Amino acid sequence: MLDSSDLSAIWLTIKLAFLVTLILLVIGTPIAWWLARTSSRLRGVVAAVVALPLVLPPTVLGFYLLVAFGPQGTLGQLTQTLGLGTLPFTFWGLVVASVIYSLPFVVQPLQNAMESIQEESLEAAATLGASPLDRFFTVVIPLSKVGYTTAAVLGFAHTIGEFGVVLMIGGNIPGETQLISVKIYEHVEALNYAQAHTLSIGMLLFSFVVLLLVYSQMNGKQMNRKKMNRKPSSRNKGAL
Amino acid sequence: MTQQSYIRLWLERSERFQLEVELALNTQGITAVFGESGCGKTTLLRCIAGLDKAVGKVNINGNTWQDEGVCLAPYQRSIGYVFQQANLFPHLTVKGNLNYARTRAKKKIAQEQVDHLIDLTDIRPLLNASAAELSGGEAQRVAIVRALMTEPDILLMDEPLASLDSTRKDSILDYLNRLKRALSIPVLYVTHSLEEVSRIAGDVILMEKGRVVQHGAVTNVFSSLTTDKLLGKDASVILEGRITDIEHAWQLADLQFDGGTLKINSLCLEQGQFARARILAKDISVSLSYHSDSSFLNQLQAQIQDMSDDGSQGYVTLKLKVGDSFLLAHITRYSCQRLNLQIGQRVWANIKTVAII
Repeated sequence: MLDSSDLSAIWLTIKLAFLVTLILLVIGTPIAWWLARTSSRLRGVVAAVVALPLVLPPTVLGFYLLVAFGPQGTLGQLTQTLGLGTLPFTFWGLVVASVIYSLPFVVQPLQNAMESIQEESLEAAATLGASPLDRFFTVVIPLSKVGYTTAAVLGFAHTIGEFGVVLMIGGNIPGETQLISVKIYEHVEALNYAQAHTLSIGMLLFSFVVLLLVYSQMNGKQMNRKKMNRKPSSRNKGAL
Repeated sequence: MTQQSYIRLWLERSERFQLEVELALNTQGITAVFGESGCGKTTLLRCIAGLDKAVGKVNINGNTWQDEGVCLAPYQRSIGYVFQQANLFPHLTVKGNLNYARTRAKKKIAQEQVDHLIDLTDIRPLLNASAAELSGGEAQRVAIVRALMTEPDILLMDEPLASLDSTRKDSILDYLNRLKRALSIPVLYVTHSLEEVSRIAGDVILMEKGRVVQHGAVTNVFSSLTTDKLLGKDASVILEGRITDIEHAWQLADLQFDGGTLKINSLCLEQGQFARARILAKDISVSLSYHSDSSFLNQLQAQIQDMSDDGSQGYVTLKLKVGDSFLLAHITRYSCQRLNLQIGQRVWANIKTVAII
């Protein structure tokens, strides 16, 4: 059934997904809040950049990341000056690439949740003596709870499922950059259909259960308080 | 010690709307801010709270919140703000909502005061409920108590009853009347309902097109001809007094006010109680002599203090002096000429209906 290199690919994939989700929730929060509330002219530009991974072929993204982070690339030279070495074909290279690739899957649910928070709730909190940061942690985040769950689940699941970017920037180094999706590809190339099948069916079941959880939670919440939630955007659905 | 509050604000939002207000507020009591929608009432309140920015000076209870070079953010101002919608935090319980305010207050509110407010507004049974489950009226009561949890220096209420049905409105007005006595801070109460003004306000600020047209005791403001012009058919006066006598056989009570006595329906009234009556200008007619053969219960001797006829309405407004109080009467221009009414003349004011509020 599963050999040790399969298990190590599974473990690596889960580790990557956890780490990426965590990082994305932290950096996605201010981006989503800014997108939800700003009236700046840059809003459209930032929103488009965040959404790019939804439409771009993963190989394109992976290619540019590879060039940028390579020894001759601007970012690559930066990481080398900082003493971090070059990122391509390392686990941390995968982390950086996945963060960029999964960004819209985290930012958009957060943004939707935050946009549906009424300005009046924040004004009420202000009149009760809550400072802006206080309001953010005690009103915005609790009221965006559904958005956070959705964002975390989608970010996690999407990171687990990526292939193109991973292959471009991570390659196929067992224990370091060899993820499940790449492993499946390797099995197929070696005509090990049985092993490819085991991993694939696992991925299929996992993805289905995740989506089932997300959508049943959304429906439930929508029926409970229609105001609090918006439907997931059609772009999200399309990309899934 | 509460000190007088002073507000001077200027804001130009567009060519059509400017706010230009200068106010000195009493140290306590409810002051209604009354006017048509779009006259700047809500903007005034939001500028005092700092939710909107205007140029000027805001000094509440001796603390400067805004002046040249100073402008505190809303959360730094000691305000209680009740919005049109309750705006409770749906992720917290009622108690959680109250504590949200309490833990952020600059002055610690005493537990007895908290209990007192909770009992006055009957929200004790709701304390453990989720704020998202409350009805409109319940939520607004909680919002009022929540606003008071910070022991604010001023309570600002922006049409708190606008989104409620009339029964709920009534009960909240009763609660507000009870609260009024427990509060030692000024309350600004924005409304476009004459009924709410006459039921709870001691003073009234009349606004039109971003300016204060009148500011004073409700009884004075409503008996002025300027107000009469603004209100048109709704023009009315408010008389305050005590119930001195109740004739149970006739279900009538005497309301003694500054300058006379009115006979009114005794329903729900008690001897000695303070009462307010509202009389619409169109419910008063005028005669030159006392009519002993009429069904009018209330005929009061009065003197014509002033009159106005802007020609557009078909009626003439008479300002009548009855003792130390004033009445307004709308009579037809035809009657005015036929009776040859003049300023200073003595007449009888015949009052058709008196509404006790």
